[in-house]
Amino acid sequence: MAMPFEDIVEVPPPGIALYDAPAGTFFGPFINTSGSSSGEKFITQGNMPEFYSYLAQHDFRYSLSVSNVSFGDGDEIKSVGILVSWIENNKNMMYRLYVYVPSL
Amino acid sequence: MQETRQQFYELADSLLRESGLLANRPTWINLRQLIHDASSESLQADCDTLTHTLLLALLSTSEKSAERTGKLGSVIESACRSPLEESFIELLKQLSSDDLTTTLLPQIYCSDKRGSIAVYLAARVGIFIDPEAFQYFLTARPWEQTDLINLAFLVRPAEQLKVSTILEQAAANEGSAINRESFTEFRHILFGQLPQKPLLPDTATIAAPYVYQPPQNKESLNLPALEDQNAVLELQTEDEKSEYKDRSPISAARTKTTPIGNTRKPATESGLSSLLKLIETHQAALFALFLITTIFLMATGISKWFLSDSETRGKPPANAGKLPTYWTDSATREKITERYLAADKDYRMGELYLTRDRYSEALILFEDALNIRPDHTQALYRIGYCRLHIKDYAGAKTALEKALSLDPKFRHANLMLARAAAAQSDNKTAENHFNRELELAKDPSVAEEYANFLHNTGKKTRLKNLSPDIRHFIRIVLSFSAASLRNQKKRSSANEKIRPVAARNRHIHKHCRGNLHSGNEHVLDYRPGCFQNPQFQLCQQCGAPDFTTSDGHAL
Repeated sequence: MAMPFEDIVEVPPPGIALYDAPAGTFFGPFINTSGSSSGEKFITQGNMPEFYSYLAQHDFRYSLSVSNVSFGDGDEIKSVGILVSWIENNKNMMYRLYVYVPSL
Repeated sequence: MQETRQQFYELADSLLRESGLLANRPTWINLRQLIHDASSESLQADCDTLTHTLLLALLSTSEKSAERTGKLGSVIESACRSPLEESFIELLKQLSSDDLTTTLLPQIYCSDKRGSIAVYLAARVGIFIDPEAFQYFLTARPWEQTDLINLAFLVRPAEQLKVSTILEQAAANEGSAINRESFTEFRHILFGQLPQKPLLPDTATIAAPYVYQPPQNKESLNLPALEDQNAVLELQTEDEKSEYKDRSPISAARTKTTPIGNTRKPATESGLSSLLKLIETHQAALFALFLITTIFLMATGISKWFLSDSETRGKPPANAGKLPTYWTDSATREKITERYLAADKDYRMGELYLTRDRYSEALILFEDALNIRPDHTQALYRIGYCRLHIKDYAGAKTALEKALSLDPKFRHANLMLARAAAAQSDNKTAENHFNRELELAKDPSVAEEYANFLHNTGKKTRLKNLSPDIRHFIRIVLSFSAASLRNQKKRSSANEKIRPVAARNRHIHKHCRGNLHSGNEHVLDYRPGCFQNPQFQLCQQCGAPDFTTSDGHAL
């Protein structure tokens, strides 16, 4: 998944749902098998009923925690925390993954 | 033609009432003559029953001919789709085993009602099949309990054990759980008490015996007179009578109320009677099933699941999209709150400053993180790290010791404390921290740093006082360092055209008698196992930390 450096911005909790994700988010569209927008597939009840049901049932969401430091001369680093949350047995669960993204 | 047909039916009925082998019955010759004189096709075209069709096929074809096989196969297949006639079964018994094997047995493979009826017919006729064949029948299609019982009639009593053994072996190699279950169930049936006679499948019905009516009375065929019914009852075989006698009052009542001579029944009546029969024949099994299901439902609370979860399945939960009080980390099971995330953000920003060695800015962010979460051990460690770099040794010591008090096994905090102590020339404290760090984990970089520390502080002999495992570990690390250095030097030597070894000022190592070089480079040639590090000189073979050459040079 590719995203311009400037577009990596904070997405506070509870975040954006993976199912029925709005266009322009990480999971909207989820897949594109063609070279054009006609092949875009979103995780919707109609497109992927079983996958959709699973994600919706557990309310899978993602949020981003972005820390940004600029050292001047275009030298900038973002520390991005990808926080995936879901509900499992009435418990709010979270999986965290951190990556550094340099601008240069 | 009409007269011939009438004559055929009369003779056929006579033949069926006679006993003995078909070909030996008195009427057989007459019928053969009649078929010979008339056209069998014209008779077959409008045969009233399958019994007559079968008889006609036998009369009009020669034994073991392909024509007979074809005609018999066609009649038997039709019989497996229609209500069964008792006279048909009796006639089937007169067929040779070869004819039955090639025409009736293949129908058993059919997964619809034909398979059930075929196995019932085979059991009624009394065919026995080879023990090896049962596994193929059992894997060909799903098997009802009734069919399995009927199939058990096809096993010769003397071969029951053999069949069971074959099926046991086949079950061991069988991938399908359904087939394994069929094998097991069939083996249980084999060794259980079989009913006196084969069971009529649920999908099959017995047609009332046929009575030939002359064509002029054909309209009255569907509404038989009482006398006809009596006559029909008289024609029933002994087997059939006993079958009716064995049945329960429910089925007996059904038999009595069924209009004899009319094979068509109302669909609802047929379905109801089939259901009643099903319940009656599987009474014990149904009761056990009911009991097990009830216990299972009560034990697992699955009924609740059916009522509640099925409705919410595929739909987001009620609290979806709401900010919870806390999350549970799926990996560490830690409680993650919003404060936790805020502290984490400051901490990570501090890490970003550390990538550029900007310790002062990083320190502020780590302290911010600590203010939000006072138990943030990583932040405490980083505060110690930053303070060490800005030479605030006391501050570093405080932060690092606090981190260790929260988590005594926190990695590298002791190393930082050792560095802080070394920087303050508190060598004893530094040594203690080095040792503690190595006790926590055998980190090669820590071992090398410790060895260099001892070398630089002139405490080479102290290595001997270390615990054997740490000493051994340091030796291994240093041997790797030396090997790496040698390789590096070899590469540089090749490039720089170094002087020949003979021209160098060479010395002999007093321990291994290997060649030494006392120029800018320290060691080039040692015997295997002997080792010297240019920074910290130690013989690996003998463990002596001093490294004096044979001519008195100390390198």
